[in-house]
This record gives sequence, structure tokens and C-alpha cells, in this order.
Amino acid sequence: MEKKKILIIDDEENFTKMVKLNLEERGEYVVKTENNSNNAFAAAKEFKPDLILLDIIMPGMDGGDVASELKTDKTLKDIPVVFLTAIIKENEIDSQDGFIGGHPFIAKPISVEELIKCIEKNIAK
Amino acid sequence: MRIKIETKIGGVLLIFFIELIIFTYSVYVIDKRHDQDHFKLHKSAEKMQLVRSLQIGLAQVAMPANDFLIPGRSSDELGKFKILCGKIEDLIKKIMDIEFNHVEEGQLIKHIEKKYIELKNTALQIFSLSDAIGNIEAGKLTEKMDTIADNAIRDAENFSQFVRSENLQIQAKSDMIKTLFSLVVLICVLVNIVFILGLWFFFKRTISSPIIHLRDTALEIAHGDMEKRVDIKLNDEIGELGTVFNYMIDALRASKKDIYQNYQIQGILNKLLKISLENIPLEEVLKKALVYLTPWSKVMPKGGIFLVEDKPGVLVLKAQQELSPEIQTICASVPFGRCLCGKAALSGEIVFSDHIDERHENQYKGITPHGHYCVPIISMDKEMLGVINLYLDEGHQANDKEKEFLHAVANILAGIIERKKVEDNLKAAYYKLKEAQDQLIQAEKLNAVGQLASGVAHEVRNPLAIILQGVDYLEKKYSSSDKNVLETLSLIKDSIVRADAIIRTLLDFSRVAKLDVGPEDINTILENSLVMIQYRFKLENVKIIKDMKSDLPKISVDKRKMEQVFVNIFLNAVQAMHKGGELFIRSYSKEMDKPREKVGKREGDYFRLGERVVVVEIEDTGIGIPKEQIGKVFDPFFTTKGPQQGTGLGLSVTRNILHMHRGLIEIESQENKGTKVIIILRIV
Repeated sequence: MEKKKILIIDDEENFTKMVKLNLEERGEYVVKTENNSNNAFAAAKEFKPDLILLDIIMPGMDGGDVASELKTDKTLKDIPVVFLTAIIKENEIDSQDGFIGGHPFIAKPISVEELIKCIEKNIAK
Repeated sequence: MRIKIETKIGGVLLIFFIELIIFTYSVYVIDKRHDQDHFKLHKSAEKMQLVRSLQIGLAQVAMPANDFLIPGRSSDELGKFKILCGKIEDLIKKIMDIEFNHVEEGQLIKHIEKKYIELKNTALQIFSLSDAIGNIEAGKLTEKMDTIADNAIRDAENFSQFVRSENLQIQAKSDMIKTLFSLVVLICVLVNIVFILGLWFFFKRTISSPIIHLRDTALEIAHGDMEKRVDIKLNDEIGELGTVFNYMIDALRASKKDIYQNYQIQGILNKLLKISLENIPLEEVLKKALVYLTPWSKVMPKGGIFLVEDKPGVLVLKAQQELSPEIQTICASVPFGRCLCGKAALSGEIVFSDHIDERHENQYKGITPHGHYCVPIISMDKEMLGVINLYLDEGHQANDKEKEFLHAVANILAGIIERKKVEDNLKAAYYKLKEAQDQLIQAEKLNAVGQLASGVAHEVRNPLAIILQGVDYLEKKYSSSDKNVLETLSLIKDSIVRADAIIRTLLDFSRVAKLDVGPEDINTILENSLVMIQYRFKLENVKIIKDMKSDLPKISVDKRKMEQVFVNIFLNAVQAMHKGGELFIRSYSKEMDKPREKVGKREGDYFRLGERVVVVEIEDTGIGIPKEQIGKVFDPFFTTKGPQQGTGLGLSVTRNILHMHRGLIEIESQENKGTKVIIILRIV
């Protein structure tokens, strides 16, 4: 079975490292990390991921900007994006129907299990 | 016909002069005649005297002649005779020298002269005869001489009688003239009496009486009887004086009436100003105003005052004087445009009627003839506050002065009404404001915690996320190893959850559970916000200039949150205008034009280009914001007001609230000129 490609864009290098480690440990995912949001578009273009985990608050382009930029590309616009954020709680996700700008999002900190559940849910879509 | 007084006096003097001439001439004529008669009488008497002397002379001539016959006569006798003859001749000559009034007189004297000469000659004949005694010739001559002498004496007597009768005639004529003279004098005296009486009457009627009448009238007017009028029916200067005098009294009366009216008006305005300062309820003020106003001038002591209350476009009767219960019911509520009061409210102009016409739509049974003044009460901001209704006598003449006065009354009432409204609202507003301010301070505090919490959350939760991911990895890697290792990892995981729980609690401070969003009218929200801090505008002498478009589309907002936004902005504006100024509030709808932050096609954009939005602009004429600070004004804890006045979170909270509504706030400012805040909101 082909491994699913996950692109994670977050300025927190240690976080991306840990997520990559955990996901790849499962053996079902290939994870690419990008810590500079300005390179996010190029990374996505090159890696062609099945799903993108996108931090919202980043120096330079923020998550929203990156998402908008991705939408502009034919090959990238259909890739599911899941936002990551440290300042919204899970119960607030419900109040906004779990979407920011049309994308699902998950609050940090998140356990590996929950992360995988969310990835699987959105990739299946 | 108009005859001047000088002409009249001239006429009188002319008549008098003519009369004087006639009188003088009459006296002169009579006197002359009298003198003539007197002269004639004198001459006549002289003639009589001479004739008498002549008679004696003639008798004397006859006597010596007789003596001639007596013997022994001497030549002396002849001499004496001749002297006597000389005397007689002298007398005859004297008589003949006197002018005769009649021919007969001349004839008689000539006849006497002729007899005398005959007598003399006879006497001389006798004398020439000597020895005459016994001489027949002498006897005959003596007889002849006696006869001649008798004839001569008789003629002289006749002459004398003739003169006497003539004398009597003259005497009679003279007496007649004397009588005539007395008569003329009497007539003159009578004429003069009549003339003087006429003159007296004439002057009394044309000069004295009118002047006394003028004087008396002037005195009566001076004593306050302004109804008095001079009544002079003369067609001269005095008549004219009377007319001018009446004109002057009319002018005086008008002027006095004017002064009285002004005094009255001043009194009413003073009373109104006085009650404006009294601490009494508005309705009592209106009632008192009516009591002062209704007896003014010729106005009937009836009327009412309407106010516009909660329902716009409708006048409500708030105070009345002498209005019947029926009228009070009919006029309890009058829509703008209906009847005279409604028309005054609609037009903003005084409506006057001097009788009941078709404009007087509110009619009732038993309506009596009357007129009206309906005076709109308009605030400084041109807001229609109400209408004063006064009853007038039918046919009342309106004038500009009355209207000016009523405008002044309306203006004073407008001031009182506005002030009372403000006063009445002030307490409520104060408490509301205090509450709002408390809420605001609370919200600012919470927001400050929220801002802090967000920052902490971001900075803490990221490391927590890394630790959690790390612990998950280690759990997986060491799942079969030492029990203590797993327990340690579990403890770490629990601690992460605990730390995260603390951050969540912190976040709860800043999060308002849910926005209470509903379709709202932006202008209503603006008005409500204005009311909350109206007192600050008055206090700081800030003039509000509204340009709010009506019929704007509804916006989807939390009303209370938006009020908080505008109160924040208004407070900033007031604080920027220390010395007063103007605050422009505009609301309108437009399509989003130029792309900028949050405007465009990007995913996180709040607005699309071309999207219809509602825009509010709030512009002050305050100190402005220095260029280098404009970028910081939305930062939490940024303030220029000093620690006592602000937390520095107002604009930060404002922007947050707007962002929660997916609305925008933009600021344009020029130092020392003012600041413009633009708020863009999405429509339902």
C-alpha cells in the first residue's frame, strides 16, 4: 500500500520534527516538514502531499495566507488542508463548525492518536 | 373753500377802515354844512343889526327935517343932518356889501336907498326954504317927506322881517343838521358795537375757541385719555392744526401702544426666561407659559402647547388653557400636516388664520368664530419639538412684530424643552453610562487578560505540543519496557494536560461565549451610542453633525457589542477635542472598491471586491494622531491619554469586536487637524 504524503508547515521546528517522527513511526505516512511559511507553496508544489497540516500563527505569511496561495494553483487547490493552532480550544472548534475559512482545524497540543484520527478523516474526504 | 386767517383778519380790518372813512366823511360833511349855516346866521344877524340901525337912522333923518321948519334954526342943524345922512349912507353901503341870499333882499335895499335919497333931497329942499313956517310949499314938502320916511321905514321893516324869516329858516336847517350829526354818530356807535361784537364772535369762533379746545384736548391727552380727538371744522390754518394735532395723537397713541406692547412682550419673555431657570417639571413649565402668553395683546385667553414625543410625526397636546374637554379629545394627538398645528409642524413656519377656514380640519359641534396662531417650536438642531397654539379674535390682523415675538417665545420654549429633556434623560443616561462604563472597563480588563492569554497560549502550547508528541513517541518506543518509565511518561502527559487546562481557563476570560447577532439598523445603534455619552459632548462643547442616510440595509451584528465599539470611538474623539469641536457622523452604503487588507479574493478576507457594505465614518476636529503612532493605536496597552484616563485597550477591544463580526476598522489622521475612523460592516 502506498504511503500517504503529509506536508507539515509550522515555524516550530521541534514540533514538526516530533510530528514527523510519530507519523512515520506508524509506517503509513511519508512526512515532509517546512518551517518557513514563505516556502510553503514551493514545498507543496514539489512534494505534492495528500494532506497539509498548516500552522496559523507564523512569522511572514500566516496560515491563512498560505492556504489562499495554495488555492491559486490548479494542482494544489484540491489538497485537503488542516489548520493547527495553539490559541483555539477544541470546544471552540464546534462553535465554528470545526472550520476556519472552509478548512478543518485542530488545537495544539494534540496527542498522536487524535492527530491521526483527524488526518484519516480528512484524507478520506 | 379754504380762507387763510390772515385773509380773514385783513377783511375785518378793511371793513373797519371803510367804516372809519364813511364816518369821518359824514362828520366832515355835516360839520362843513354846520359852519356854512353858522356863517349865514352870523351874516343874517349882522344884517338885522344894520337894518335896525338904518330904521333908526331913517327916523332920525325925518325928525330934523321937521325941525327945519322951526324958526331959529342954525346952520349947525344942517351939519348934523349931513353927518346923519353920512351914517345912513354908510349903513346902506354896509348892508349892500353883505351877500344877499335872495334877489328880493337886493331889490328891497335898493328900494330903501331910493326912498332915502328922496327923503334926503326933500329934507334938503325944506332946509333951503327960509321962512318955511306958514309956507304952503314947505307944508307940502313936509308931508311928502313924512310919507317917504314912513315908506322907507316900512320897507326897512319888511327887509328886517324878510331877514328874520330867512334867519329862522337857516336856524331850522342848522338844527336839522345837528340832529343829522347826532344820528350819524349814533349809527356809527351802533355799527361799531355790532362790528365789535361780530369781531369778538368771529375771533372767538375762528381763533380763541379752537385754541382753547386744542389746549383742553392736549391736557386731557396728557392726563392719559388717548381716545380724545380735536374737533375743529374750520377750513383754515387752525383747522389744519387740528388735523395735524389729531394725526400727532394717532401717532402718539400708536407709539404708546407700541411701547406698551413691547413692555408686555418683554415682561412675558422675562417670565419665560425665569421659569426656564426654575426646577419644575416640563408640563408645568408649558402650563405656566400658556398662562403668561394667552392674555397677551388681543389674543383670546385660550390655547395649547403640543410636543412631539416618542412617536415621530405626531403632536401630542401637553398643556392647555381654557380648552373644552371636546377640543382636548379631538386635539389630543395631531399628525404632522393635519389641521393648522400639524401644518405648522410640517412646514416649520408660523401658521396664521384670522377665521375658521378649510385648513382648520379639526372641527367640532358649536365651534365659535376665531382665528389661530400656530407657532412651531424648533430646536437648535432644526428638530421639530412641538407647536404653540393660540386662539385669536376673528379678523385679527397679523403683523411681523407679533410673529417675531412668537418666534422668540418658541425659541425660549425650545431651549426649555431641550434642557428639560436632557435633564430628564440625564439621570437615566448617567446610570446607563455608568453601567456601560463599568461593563467597558470590565470588558477591557477581560480583553487584556485575553490578549495576554492568547500570547501565553501560543507561546506555551507550542512547547506543550512538542512535549506531548515526544511523550507519545517515547510511550510507543518503550511500551514494553520498565513500568516506571511508562508511569513517568504518563505523569508527564498528565502534567501537559494540566498545563493546557490552565491556559484554557485563561483563554476563557477573553472569549465571549457567543455573539448575540441579529439584523440591526446601524443608525439606531449610532443614536443609542450617542445618547450614552451625550452629556460628554455638551460638557466638552462638541457639536454633532450627522449625515446618516436613511433606509440603509440591515447589518448582522451584536447590538451591544457594536454600541461598545461606537462609545469607545466617541470617547476617543471627545478626548481628542479638549477645546470643543465638531464631530461628524456619517453612515452610508457602498460597494467595496480597492483591494486591501481583508478585502479581496483571499481565503481569510472579510469582504469581496464589489460586495455591498455599510460604512460608518466618525470624524473629529481634534488633535489627531502623530504619523508614527497610527500603526500602534490598535496595540493592546497603547495609550496617549495617561494612566488615569485609559487602559490602552479601548481600540484594541474595538478592533477585536469588529473582527469578531468580520468587520473592518481603519484610521486616517492628520496631526492638529483631526482623526477619521472608518468602520465597514457586512450587511445581512
